[in-house]
Amino acid sequence: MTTTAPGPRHGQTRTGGGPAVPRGSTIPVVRLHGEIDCAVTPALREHLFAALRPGMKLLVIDLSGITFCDAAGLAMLVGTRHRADRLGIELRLTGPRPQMRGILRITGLDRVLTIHPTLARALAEGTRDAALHPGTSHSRPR
Amino acid sequence: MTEETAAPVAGAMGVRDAVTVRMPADSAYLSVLRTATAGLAARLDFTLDEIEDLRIGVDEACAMLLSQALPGTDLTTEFELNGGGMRVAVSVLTADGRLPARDTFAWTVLSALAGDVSAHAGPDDRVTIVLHKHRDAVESA
Repeated sequence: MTTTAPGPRHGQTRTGGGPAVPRGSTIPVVRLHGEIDCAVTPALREHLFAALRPGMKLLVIDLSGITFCDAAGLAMLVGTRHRADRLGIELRLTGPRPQMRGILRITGLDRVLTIHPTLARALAEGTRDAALHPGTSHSRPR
Repeated sequence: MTEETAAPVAGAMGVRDAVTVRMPADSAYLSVLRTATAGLAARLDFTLDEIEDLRIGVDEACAMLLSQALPGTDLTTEFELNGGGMRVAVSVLTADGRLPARDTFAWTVLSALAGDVSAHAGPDDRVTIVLHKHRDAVESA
């Protein structure tokens, strides 16, 4: 229970040596904390959009620190996904807690968004691009 | 806020156990209302999951209404606790008395979690959403 707005923290996480991710490259991970409602989604959306940089292949959003999320938060994630799609960036969500899993299921968004149970699992899979073109890696995320 | 104690919710002679919370129609206060909801729900025999459902339901109802509340007005939430569960009526003054759209994520979540849900508009364009969450655990026992 917290009354503070969640502050996104932008982190860099080294890959765990997943098969299709070139060794030494990094996958950007955004970790969200706290409660997400319509009071904080405008600012949070801006942070997430800023994290989607042209040229990157994959962005992971770690939801394990989210203790409450409502429909405004879901809409923000869907908007982020659309933005990522336009930029050709794969978006993976990880670690939603039971409350958030519940509303993702109720709204059917668990079948629309790419959700991994844990951060490790999200990082372990190769990038979509690498999977489509094994062995090639043109641009590195910066 | 304890998880297992349930204080008597209605005294003899049918005294209403009712609480009204009035706050500015501003999303900054939503978290306060969620906390109040959980605290009141804990007075009944709701399970933790049901309390969480109520918290989300009240949050969604308020968020929907806040988007059309007249600036500078209040959001009013009336909680009524009775033997069968909790009834929550959330209302705001609006410009046109328009009822919330039902083809939204918010309404989907609200109607799935909050039990019986209805919305109506009064003659003064006050729009109200009413949730009635029943105590499933007690009914099935």
